[in-house]
Amino acid sequence: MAGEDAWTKLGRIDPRILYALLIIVLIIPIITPVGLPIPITDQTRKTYEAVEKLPPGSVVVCSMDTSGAAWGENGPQAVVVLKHLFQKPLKIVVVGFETDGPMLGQQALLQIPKGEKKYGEDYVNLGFIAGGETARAAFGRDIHKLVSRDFLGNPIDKLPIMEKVRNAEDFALFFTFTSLISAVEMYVRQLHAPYKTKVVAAIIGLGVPSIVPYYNAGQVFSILSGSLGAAEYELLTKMPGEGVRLSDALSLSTLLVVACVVVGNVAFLAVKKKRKEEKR
Amino acid sequence: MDFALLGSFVAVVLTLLIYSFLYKENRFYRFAEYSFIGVASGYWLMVAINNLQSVAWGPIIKGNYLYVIPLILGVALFARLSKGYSWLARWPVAVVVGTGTALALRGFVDAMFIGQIRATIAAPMNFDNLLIAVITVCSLFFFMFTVEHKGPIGIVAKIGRYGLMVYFGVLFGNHVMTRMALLTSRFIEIQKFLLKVLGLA
Repeated sequence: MAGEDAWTKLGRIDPRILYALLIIVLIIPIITPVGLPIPITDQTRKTYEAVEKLPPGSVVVCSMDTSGAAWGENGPQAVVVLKHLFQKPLKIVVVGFETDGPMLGQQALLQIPKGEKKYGEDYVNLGFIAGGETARAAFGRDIHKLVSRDFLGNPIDKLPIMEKVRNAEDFALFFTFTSLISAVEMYVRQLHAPYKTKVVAAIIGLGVPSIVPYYNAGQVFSILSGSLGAAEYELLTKMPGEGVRLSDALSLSTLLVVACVVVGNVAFLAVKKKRKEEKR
Repeated sequence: MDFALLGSFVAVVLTLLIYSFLYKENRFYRFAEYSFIGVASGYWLMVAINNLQSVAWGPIIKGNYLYVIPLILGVALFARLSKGYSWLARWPVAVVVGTGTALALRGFVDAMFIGQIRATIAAPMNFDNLLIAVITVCSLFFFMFTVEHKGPIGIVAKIGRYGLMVYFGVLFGNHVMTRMALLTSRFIEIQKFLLKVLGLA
């Protein structure tokens, strides 16, 4: 029964060997990109087309409801969407209802080309707004009553862009870059339900299955699914960036995980069978 | 001095210290862990002070004295620290819970309940939507414990259980993908830093 012993050994493999394997699988495509195909989902295409079709002067809100821990997925999404928005004659409002969000949003704003857009006229970062769902509801009702100063400390009443942006009825599109399913649900309740705002959920991969029912019901306009969603958007906008770089490593590492799951289960069944036979 | 490069260096070192846990628990990991907690606490404290200044103190100075009420309620939260006056803390908690519940309920019934049922019923008749409707009903049966899961009800509940298992599988798969993406993004940061240091960026 030497074969079954091997299965038993495999079932007790030192996790550190798996970590080492995983690191190798991740590093190779980062150093030498493999260029695996990236199919574009309907949801990403819908988001891209919605931005393309926005009339000049439309207001797009980018809510950075994310944290440093999730920035690995939300970052590439935010950067490519902001790049796309800055290429269009649109007004961009960055805000955040989670503490780290506006700081990360500002970091994303700093690394993208602004073209001829001017701060305060064409775009603004309103900073962090505390209060969770209450703040989100108030933001939809009247921004000027909720926020007095932007992220940089300027009074928002003196910013020309804010003359046009007063409440949710002024938003042509509302992006939430988030790791939180609850954040998307709050926007469904506080922005879509009362004002029919088009909410785009740019959420990390693990949150997507929970958001799909809202998308199917039309309560969420579309979904950008994690870093793969960012990669798809980068391809649509012809601006390959971190999303595309991530996708190769992601595909290969997922293959490794699938292989581990299959081998692990086979080993488990083989050991189970051996124990049954020993009992007999 | 290139502060961006210094920032990248700190980030890379801390990333490596955190990942050293994969080998085994060690002092370097602990150092990174405690540093993170310290920095996060400091950042949150600053955000809270800044928030207090802009949302409460600022409007009061401008003459909007109504903001004194939430400020007093906020201070009342600290009454919990005193044995004799801890009851005072119940007032702000009641206001927060009451307001939060009312707000959530405003959209909840329409968006989360009626909206979802409407979407399931009104969806165009195709295989996908039929499957969603069937699995929805079957999953609800799985959580109905007033009837014993035997006979036809047992079969329906079992289909519901399989539906839930598929959902958990999808959730697990997405979870793995997300963790891998986060790990990969750290490696890309390390690569960016190395390329910068070597002058290849």
